Amino acid sequence: MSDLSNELSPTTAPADNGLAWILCAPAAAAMVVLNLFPAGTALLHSPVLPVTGELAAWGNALLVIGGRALVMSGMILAIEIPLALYLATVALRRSRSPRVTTTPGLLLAATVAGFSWRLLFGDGIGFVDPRSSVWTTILVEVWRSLPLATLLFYATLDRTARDLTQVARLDGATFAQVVRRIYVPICRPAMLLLLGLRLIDYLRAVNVSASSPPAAERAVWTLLVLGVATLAIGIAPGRETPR
Amino acid sequence: MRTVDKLALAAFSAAFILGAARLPDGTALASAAELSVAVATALVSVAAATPFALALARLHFEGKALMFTLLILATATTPDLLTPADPSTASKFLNDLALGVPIAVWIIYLVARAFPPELEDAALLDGSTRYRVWLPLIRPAVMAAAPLVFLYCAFDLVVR
Repeated sequence: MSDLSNELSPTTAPADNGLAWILCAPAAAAMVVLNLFPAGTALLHSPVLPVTGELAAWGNALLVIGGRALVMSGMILAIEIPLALYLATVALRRSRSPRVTTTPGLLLAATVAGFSWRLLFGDGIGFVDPRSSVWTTILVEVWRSLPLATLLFYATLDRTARDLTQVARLDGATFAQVVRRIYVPICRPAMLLLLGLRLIDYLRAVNVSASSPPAAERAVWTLLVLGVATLAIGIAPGRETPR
Repeated sequence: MRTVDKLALAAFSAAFILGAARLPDGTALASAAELSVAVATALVSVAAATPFALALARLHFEGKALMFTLLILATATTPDLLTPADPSTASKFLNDLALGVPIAVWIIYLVARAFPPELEDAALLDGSTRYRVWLPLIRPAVMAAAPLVFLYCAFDLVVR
């Protein structure tokens, strides 16, 4: 019997080396050729500035890895994940009113974010200085990505968390315990996805600011972090490439 | 979902994308060529990513950690670094593919990891294959990953 279950269960099955490598081959080849090889080459060339040819040592790498965009991305995640989890738990409750009141706001988020940026940066109206623009960017970005996060959490919790919550409540668990022991573990894959998407946005933001002259840096990265919201106001995220 | 609903949804989506893909002065954000490149990118990304994600999520094999490392590194290295000065259709396609494959892998992997192992056990016990279990279960994730990759690639704007 143990042999049979070993053979059958995917969790305890012997290694499927051949099949797995065949399945992995196309995507792995694409990732090695398209991502790792150029990134490695770029890393190799990174100590030298592209235009002037000066030796910058680790300056280039620090410009790419460090900077305000990293701090901003971390803060955006720190705000959006608890807020989205809270909204998802509100929507999960049986009462219909929270769902009715939160859903239109979430659906309109991209449009509202776009209009707020038009107000903030429009000709003759813009009043944002560099210090407050960091907080404005964080706020607007949280607003923009909150619907996706909330829907992800809601979809994850909707399938599994109701029964578990009821059982836990019957056993006398507090709301904080339910969140810590049920909601957060169930939502961990969704959080991982959000982290991945944020990582992509962050790296794109940094790439632009890193490839821009210092004078243009501020304007470029604050716009770039916006992504979709910029479509609404007709400002494309800039990308400067060496000619 | 009925066929008429699917058609209505497709028409609405196309109208929304084409309508939204314009600047206030009426110029298109993405040309027809760029949109078709994005469609091709989405299809190829999903085709390559699905078996990779299934292998990572459902199989035990030597080198799994290596594949995970490769995936994380590929996610972290964005194609903006690789964009040539004047992107041609082919380079745009490869550039988008470098972004599309890791995104699609992550989406499909997270879904594939949640399959109940009992289904596979039952299918193997009845003399069936894993693919007969995997393919119907993975379809929603694939249908979600393809449009997302398309959207990431279609409106990846470049100031000209």
